[in-house]
Amino acid sequence: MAQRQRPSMDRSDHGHEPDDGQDPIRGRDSPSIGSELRDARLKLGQELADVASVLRIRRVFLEAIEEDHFDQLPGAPYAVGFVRAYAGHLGLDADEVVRCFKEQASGLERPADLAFPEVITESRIPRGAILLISVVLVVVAYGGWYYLSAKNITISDIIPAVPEKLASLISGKEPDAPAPDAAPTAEAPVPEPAPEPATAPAAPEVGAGEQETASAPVTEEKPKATAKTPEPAATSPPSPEPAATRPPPPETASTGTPGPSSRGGADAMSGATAPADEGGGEAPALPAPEPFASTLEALAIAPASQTRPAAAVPTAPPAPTKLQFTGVPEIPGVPPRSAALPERQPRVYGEGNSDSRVILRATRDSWIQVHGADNVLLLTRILRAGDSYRVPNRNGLTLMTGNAGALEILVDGQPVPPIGPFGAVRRDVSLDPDRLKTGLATAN
Amino acid sequence: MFSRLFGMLSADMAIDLGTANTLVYVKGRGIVLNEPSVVAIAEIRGRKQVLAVGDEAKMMVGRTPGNIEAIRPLRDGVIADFEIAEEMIKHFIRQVHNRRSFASPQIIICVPSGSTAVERRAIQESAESAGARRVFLIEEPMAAAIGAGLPVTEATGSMVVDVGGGTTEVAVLSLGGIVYSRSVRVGGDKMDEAIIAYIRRNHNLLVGEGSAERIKNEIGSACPPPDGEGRVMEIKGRDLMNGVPKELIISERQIAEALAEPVSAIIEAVKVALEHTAPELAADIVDKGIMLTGGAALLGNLDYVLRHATGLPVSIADEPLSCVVLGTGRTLEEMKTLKNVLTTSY
Repeated sequence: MAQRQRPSMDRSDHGHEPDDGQDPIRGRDSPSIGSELRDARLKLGQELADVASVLRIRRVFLEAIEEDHFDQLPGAPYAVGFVRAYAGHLGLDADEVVRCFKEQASGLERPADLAFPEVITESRIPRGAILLISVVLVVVAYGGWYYLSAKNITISDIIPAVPEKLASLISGKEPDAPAPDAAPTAEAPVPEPAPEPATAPAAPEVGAGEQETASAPVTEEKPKATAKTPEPAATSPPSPEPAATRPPPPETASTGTPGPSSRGGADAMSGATAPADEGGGEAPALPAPEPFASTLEALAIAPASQTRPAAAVPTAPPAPTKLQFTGVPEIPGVPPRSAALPERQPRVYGEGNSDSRVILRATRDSWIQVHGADNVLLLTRILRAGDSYRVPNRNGLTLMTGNAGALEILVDGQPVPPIGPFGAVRRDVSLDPDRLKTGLATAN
Repeated sequence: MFSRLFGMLSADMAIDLGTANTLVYVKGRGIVLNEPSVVAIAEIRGRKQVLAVGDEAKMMVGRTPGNIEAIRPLRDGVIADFEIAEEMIKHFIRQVHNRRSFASPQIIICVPSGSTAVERRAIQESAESAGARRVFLIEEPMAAAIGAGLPVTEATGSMVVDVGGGTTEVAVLSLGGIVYSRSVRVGGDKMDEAIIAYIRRNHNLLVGEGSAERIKNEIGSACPPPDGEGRVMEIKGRDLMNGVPKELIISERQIAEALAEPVSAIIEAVKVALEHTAPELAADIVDKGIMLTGGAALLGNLDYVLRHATGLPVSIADEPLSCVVLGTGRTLEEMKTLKNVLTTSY
């Protein structure tokens, strides 16, 4: 590109010839570019106003350039442009003047900061605070969940049990509830009182040995007992006379007590402990309540006429003790089981399902979930060892368990084949009693 | 995150795709390429192939045999020949972009403020097919103002006149935006054409584009010298009367006459822009004046003519030829803060 020349700059207005050949700036140690420009202007005999009118640069800016007050100029690019125009007008080497000007005026090389006007953000919750709060909430929620799960507390545990006062107000439910509760342990309470009557009547027995043995064959149906004591049985006919001679209470007692107590006959204690075993407890258990009932009936009738004499006679006490026994067995029916797990009461879920055919009982801790036919969740929880669940008598129930081997399944009271080994997870196990019995419950 | 990673791996570039010259600024490296926007195409066995691009191709302009064609794919600031322009951009990008960097670059390209959406789309697509990861467009007057160092983001009016090869852009800028802009398709090319036409008309001599450009650069002036003929220059061409090559001497005054029409078109554009400027901005411009950028700003006395016509101080930017690419490059460097000035048609 050709060097720009400005001979026309000075034409009409000033009429002087620019001397292109010489450069007034070069070769001089000029500290100030402004004074150089002023010298050049004065040399040409021009007024500042004339220059301002030709270059259209305002006079204050030209003065600022001449006095080196570069900060008064409108901006770096304009200042350079003004100096270039001024130098060209004066016939100086514009590029050289601009180079010197840039050296002297500091900050011209630095480009102007370009900062776009920012949109004012509306006031709102700062993002950092939202983040912090959400983190705290998450930590609290997790901590709470961890605490509850670590202590094995479920929501149902937190809810307090119904107070007894209120429980008694629930009219229809209350009598029903204990009935099934006692049912599974029905065989237990019956043998239980057995030893006690055995020992309790032992006291009167000492006094009336023949009477007891004599009365035994009367109620005893076991052939064994009858075979064992044929003589006493034979001798029994006379014994009722002495018994009869005695006041009536012993009579009532003799009708009631012999059932359990006489079974052992000679070995009363061994006979008493034997029924305590769960194995063969049922056979003697069934006849047992009947004598109790009969004693109750007898007591209900007999005392009406003979309570007074009974109280007078020393053998009377057995009767009241009998009363206690008849009343007591039903309440302490559970204790024998709780003795095995002293620290925790086994729970029975689904107690309301009186018509239940299937009972799930956990021998070890096992998580179970029972769904209804339309996938309605009936129960989901961990059955602790000993807990049981009475499955409602409905069709289409399915079971999911986390430990199949720990579940003992009873159908109509009879154990059925296990649905899996210990620790096995089983899903969609049908709780249909027939399928459970055949062991096909897990096969879908 | 990925964009930052790619940014490190690729050489992002700013391109001033000018009618006359193409300049490429690479992030962190400055201006790395400044070549004429000319492509030489050879037709070999029926297939067109790129023979040369840039300086080499410009030497061939007007001197090519039948099978070679030296083409300027841009006319009036916009792409006239889409395929050739794409080849040229590809060539420049390949020349600049490091082959080892496997991420394709982000590219900012200038477009004239008066270009249509179709023209912008054409420029953007040719850059994309040339291998750009993402293409942004920036309006030329804004790039020129940033390159000239004007305080475009301040609440003060700045006027920039960018006289390029194909177009002249006049714009008033304030608060980071273009308040008013006007683009006339007059520039260096039109001046060359005017010189050719003048010499043919007055001297019956036909000169080439290259010669005309040389005349403009050496003795070109926007106004005739105050007295006499001014500088003179020998020119060579073909005599239209008898068809033989001829040499003659032409003066500055004659060229100034020849250039009167394009120069007056530029002045007219500036005046119209000033007429449309809001009074507050006009008051700012009275103080600071007009900033002249672009290659044709180096035409002798153009600033004087403008000053005379408008009555405003006129300054020529420091490096008028590279103002646009410097401004585009600065936008590339400060992408975060200057993103507002970029447009993209995604």
